[in-house]
Amino acid sequence: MELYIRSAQAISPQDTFPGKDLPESINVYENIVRCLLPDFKNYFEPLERRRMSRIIKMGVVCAEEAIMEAEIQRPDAIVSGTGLGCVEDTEKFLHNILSSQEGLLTPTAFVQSTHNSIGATIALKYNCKGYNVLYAHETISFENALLDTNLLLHEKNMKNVLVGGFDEITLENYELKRKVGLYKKDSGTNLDIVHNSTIGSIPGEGATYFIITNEKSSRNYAQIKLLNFTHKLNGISKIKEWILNTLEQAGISVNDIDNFLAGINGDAPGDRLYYELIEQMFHSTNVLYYKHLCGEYDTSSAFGVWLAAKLLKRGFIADYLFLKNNHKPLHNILMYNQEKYKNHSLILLSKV
Amino acid sequence: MSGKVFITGIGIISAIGDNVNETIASLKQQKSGVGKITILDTKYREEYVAGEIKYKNSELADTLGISPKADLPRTALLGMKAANEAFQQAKVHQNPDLRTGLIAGTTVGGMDKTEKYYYHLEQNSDFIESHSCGSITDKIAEYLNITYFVSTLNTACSSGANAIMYGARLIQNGLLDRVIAGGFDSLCKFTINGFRSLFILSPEVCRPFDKNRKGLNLGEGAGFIVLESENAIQTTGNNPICMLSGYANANDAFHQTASSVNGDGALLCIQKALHKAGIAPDRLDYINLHGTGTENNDLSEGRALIRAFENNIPPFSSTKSFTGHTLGAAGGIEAVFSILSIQEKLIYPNLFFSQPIEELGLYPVNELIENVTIRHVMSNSFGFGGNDTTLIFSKV
Repeated sequence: MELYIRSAQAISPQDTFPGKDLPESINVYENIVRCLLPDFKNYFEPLERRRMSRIIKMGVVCAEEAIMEAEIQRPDAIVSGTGLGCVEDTEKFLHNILSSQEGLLTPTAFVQSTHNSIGATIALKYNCKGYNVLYAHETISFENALLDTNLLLHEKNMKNVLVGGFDEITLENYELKRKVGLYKKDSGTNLDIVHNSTIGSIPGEGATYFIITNEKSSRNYAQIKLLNFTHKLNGISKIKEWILNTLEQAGISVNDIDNFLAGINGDAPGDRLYYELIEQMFHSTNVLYYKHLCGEYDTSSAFGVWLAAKLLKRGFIADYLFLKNNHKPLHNILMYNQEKYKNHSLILLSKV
Repeated sequence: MSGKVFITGIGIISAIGDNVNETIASLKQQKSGVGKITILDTKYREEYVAGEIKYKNSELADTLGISPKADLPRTALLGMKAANEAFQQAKVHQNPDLRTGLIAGTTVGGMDKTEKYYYHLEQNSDFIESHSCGSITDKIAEYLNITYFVSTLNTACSSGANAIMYGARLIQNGLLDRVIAGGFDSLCKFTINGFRSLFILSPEVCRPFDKNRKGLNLGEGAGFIVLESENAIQTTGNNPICMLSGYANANDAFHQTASSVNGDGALLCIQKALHKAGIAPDRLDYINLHGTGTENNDLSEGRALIRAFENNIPPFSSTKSFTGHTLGAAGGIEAVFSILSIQEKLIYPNLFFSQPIEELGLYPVNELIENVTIRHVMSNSFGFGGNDTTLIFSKV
């Protein structure tokens, strides 16, 4: 794939924004991993700042920094991914309806709860009249956005596509999902996700945006060499076969992989799959993980891509990312993510 | 980036029918499905009318052979109904070796169930896992046993059209052989209260493109179509109904909820879709408008029509007064209408139109036109955030 990461920005629970490298050490959070917010005063007029919800500000600011970092006037297309969209506004409007028994309501929260309001705001701000969509398919929302970007850069006379993912966690959403076992019932921190034996992940959030281009340049962070995802595979042998086939179709053997970046999120039943694959397929590669930095959320793989891009650019791996160090070089990173054995995704990034 | 994309199956449920045949009958009878709200539990039953499907969830589940105890979100039930009809027509269960995708557009996902139980967790907490847009598509995928590729878009009221466009592009780029694509949405308090707060709900049946239009009616339903590649059709042996010859997506970049005065985004995607289809504007035989019946949309879309087609606008109408505005489903439902226009040789009337909008002076088709050869049909879908999409279907 002729797909290159020109710029990469992430608002995350770590000190990553704007334009920063990986942090020296990891911020630790109990139960909920929430983002460190930039000073929005630097980006919005007071009125705008008050009206916009937290996630919209996060997404817009992150996208703006990605556009600026790439030194382009405006992107040719805007493609975003999100699992749940703008949760805070959705909750707000829902409460307004339910608590007032459908009383007189103001539209702000309703309008801002629209999933693509970040993509629309960016389009408005940069006068981008081109292609603009949003994918909302659970943990492969960002992967769909990336696939669409690849199609766009192939099909059309496009050079720079703004692509990203965003999701927010609210206290209310956390409590709901904790009740049904999606998040851990017992307290824990983001550092406890490896070899965890309990059910549920540690929730996180983030906004991550990239400018992806088809132009080669030494300025690029990394090349996206391969992208594939699928909905369901029956059992580990089918999953292994799918990974091997995907690599093979891109002319890559599993032995070519230096670094395997696993989507381990602390949910014991789901994580079992990663450990089995590591043991059976990636025993001699370096094994890395990243969700202790950002927590689990539907578009956390976008943060994973940000991290991989930063690693490949600077050429060394922080100690806190290793699950297993087999002292392999850093030529490429294969990301694998899944959610309770469905929505499998593979992204291979390599040095430019 | 080439190759034809054929349509081999269609499925629909809306206020004017549970399936394709009932829909054709209602369209021919010029029978609006917009009326009194009797199923949705809302305070506004007396105040507004809607394009409501007159089945309770338990009845829909029963038709689908699903236990009503599963208490699925209404969106999932509507989606399953329409997607399955398209699936059966194209015999998707045959030829399991074809790389098959399910791609849907929706705006509310599982909201109808969420709002029902949000304050009553003790009664049912399943909504937590059936709230997201993608989770509903997953339920449809499970019902149809689609496992290879499943995806969901949400671009507000153009979601269904963008799902179809994504499907076509995945086929043309050689990544999928066959795609069931469309949209679904159900009526819910969230949207009725949302559109009410924007003051764009009409208390009476909507009158798109009419001088005295008073806003939109919400509707509900689902529309899906089966897209197949040229190679797939050799394998399936399906007889194509028509093809998807053009599509385009553009952004109005004007306002979060309003369309630009001159319809810039609409014009752009109309022109880009014509270019993609490789046909001159005057070769279109019918345009199925977005035509919601709001002050703003119709004026903006009308200006875009004048700019795109000048004095030679092909016959056009909005079918929103049949179904109401079905939001994320609209692109899917109106794709089915457009395909039926070709198949049934019909141009649908813009119901309840009487006087043109002064600034435009445009007259939509006012009565049913039958036995007319339709070679190319355009379908417009525009949404909040300036998300504009146009599809063109053509006779094979």
